[in-house]
Amino acid sequence: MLSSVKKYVFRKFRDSETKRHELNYLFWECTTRCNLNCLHCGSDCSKDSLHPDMPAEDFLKAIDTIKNIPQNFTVVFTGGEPLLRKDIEFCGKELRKRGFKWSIVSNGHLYDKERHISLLNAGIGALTISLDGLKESHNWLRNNEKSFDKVINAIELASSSHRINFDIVTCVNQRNINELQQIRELLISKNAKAWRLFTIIPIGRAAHNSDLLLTDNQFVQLMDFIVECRKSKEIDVKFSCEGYVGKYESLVRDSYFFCRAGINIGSILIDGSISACPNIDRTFSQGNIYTDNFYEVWKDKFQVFRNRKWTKIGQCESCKDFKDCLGNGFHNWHGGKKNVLVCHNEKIEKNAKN
Amino acid sequence: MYIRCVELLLIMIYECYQFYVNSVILFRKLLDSGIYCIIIKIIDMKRNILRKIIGGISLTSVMFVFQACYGTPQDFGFDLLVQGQVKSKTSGLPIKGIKVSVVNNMQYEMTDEEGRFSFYTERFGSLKLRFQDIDSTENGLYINKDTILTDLDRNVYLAIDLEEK
Repeated sequence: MLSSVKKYVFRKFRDSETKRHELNYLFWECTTRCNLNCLHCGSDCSKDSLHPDMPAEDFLKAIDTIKNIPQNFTVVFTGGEPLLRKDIEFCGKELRKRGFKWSIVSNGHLYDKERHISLLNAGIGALTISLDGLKESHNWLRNNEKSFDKVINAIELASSSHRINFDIVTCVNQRNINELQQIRELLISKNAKAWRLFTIIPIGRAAHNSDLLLTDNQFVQLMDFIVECRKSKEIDVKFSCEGYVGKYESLVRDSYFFCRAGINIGSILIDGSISACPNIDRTFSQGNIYTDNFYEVWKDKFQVFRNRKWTKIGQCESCKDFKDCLGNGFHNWHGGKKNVLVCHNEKIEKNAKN
Repeated sequence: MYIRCVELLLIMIYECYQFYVNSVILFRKLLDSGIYCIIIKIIDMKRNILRKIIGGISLTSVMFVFQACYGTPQDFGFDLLVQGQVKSKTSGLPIKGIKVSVVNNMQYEMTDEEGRFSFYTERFGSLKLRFQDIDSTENGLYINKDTILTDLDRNVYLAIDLEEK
């Protein structure tokens, strides 16, 4: 009964947030160059990207169109690997001058002591680093034999600073699903405070590698692992907000599933496209900073993100959980958009039947 | 009788028009005086309070500090900007290459050609900064200096003079 009331109120809250449509979180795909060649890369990044890095001035000009800085507004540098850019610190300082907070998603490969200090000096406030297993499984996924050691060094540096709010993300796959407990212990020993677990969706290079995708049984194993971890306070473990997980909703995250792509989350992509999260199908772009006013596009467009009734097709059409799920994470709509790419709840329900 | 009705109708139209004109003028005055902004802010505050109540009932206060699935956690902003200029006490000229570091912290920055430095650092109750000449005779020889900052509620600007050795 209480759970139903909470869910009902949450739906009302979600509707009000959707109507409000406040920009709180802006990704900047500042480069699509990458120093790694990960097996699961969703964006098919490479060392020699087809796109040149977006000049900092172009990005700053776009965000200067933002009127009335929303509460908790933050800019997240993503890529590719953002630390390949030499001017990240310059961009960061420029953002701080404007009253914006900023942070970085990094593979940790270039995150050494000197870079840590220069990023702090430039006013970095948050950081996400990827660790995809113990040494062997991490280096396998990252396709680089030095990656694990470098990531561990990055984690040690980040956790040495009270200033940076940072977390570790792990893409759970066939190779690391059985070492999650050891990874957790490793992270606790490195003084990490937060750990988010993902699955890999079959897009980009990951579409062609079945070793990366979990079976239904393994997915439930992952959910149960997170539930168990959350009973302890040593490290804050949670499932990412990648999808709706039915009966596990209140057990694996701090709040119910709410895909805020295009509702509170926007992005400026490498070619200037204006969209929501960078892993969303690029055909959903709402405009381009080189031809449109960024903030006007944010305010006046994004209808496809704000009204998700159109996702009630394919298997979602007859789904009893649609009102809570609304077509799962937006990044699960690709190609012809006739059906959701991955249904996390289906995995759970299928496993329960077997 | 007919004329009287037309007359009344015209008076009503005129009164309505006057009311409309006065309303527009009043609205513009409100805009100019900033009262309109205050009213909008009050309405917005009420909406925000309502939003927080609804979020609270659904036990989702965390929803106001959310994290995108492929993004970073939120920055809670516990830092301050420390900037300033280092000069020679004797000549008054700026000194390049002075290491400005935060004591008990790995952060530091070197002064530029104009003797200037600028960096963000964690906000504590107090902050001890060290100014060190580490490049030997390259930019002159200066005696190191420590400064303790205690009023850290806002960003800090420092004018530092170093004595020559």
